[in-house]
Amino acid sequence: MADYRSHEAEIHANGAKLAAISVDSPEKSQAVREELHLGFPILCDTQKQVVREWGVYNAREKGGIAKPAVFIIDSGRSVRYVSVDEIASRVRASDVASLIAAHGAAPAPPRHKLVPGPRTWVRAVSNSIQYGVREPGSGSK
Amino acid sequence: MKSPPNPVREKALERGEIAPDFELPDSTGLPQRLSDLCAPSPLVLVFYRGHW
Repeated sequence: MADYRSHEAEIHANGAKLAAISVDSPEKSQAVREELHLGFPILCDTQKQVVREWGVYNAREKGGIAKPAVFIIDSGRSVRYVSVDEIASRVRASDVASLIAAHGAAPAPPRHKLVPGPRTWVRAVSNSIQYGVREPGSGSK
Repeated sequence: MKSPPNPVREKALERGEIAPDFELPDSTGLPQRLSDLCAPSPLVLVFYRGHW
């Protein structure tokens, strides 16, 4: 999660939002959010409805939890990218940030271009290359 | 074939599918709806194991 925190600004800069989700209670989730100083919301799927419907339910552990997974959802709820880990790892935030930067995360404009042009994306990618994409584990959990 | 509403899905949603909408409280109790979160700009939704 802290991995994602450190890339939140970059993801925002490239026109996307970030949210986390687990089956934990609001209290527990808020504790995690405060402990890790997360700026993005944590959604609480305590009824395990979403994890079941999205096919990321791990029934074999701890009474049923979410599999580590990342989805990029476009407006219209169209799934643009999926990464699901059957074991306890998850795609790195830096990879997701690069993907967002590379593909341009802004929704497809209906008629004319109301999003920054390709040059803006290129600049964003160059910036992240130049100023760094922090490795997870260096000073964060 | 469109799948009928089925609460338990074995395989994860795939690229190109339409994600089922939902409304869930966030950690502060505020209701959050997927269709609001993913528009106008896309949403990166990170599922994590929890239960630390």
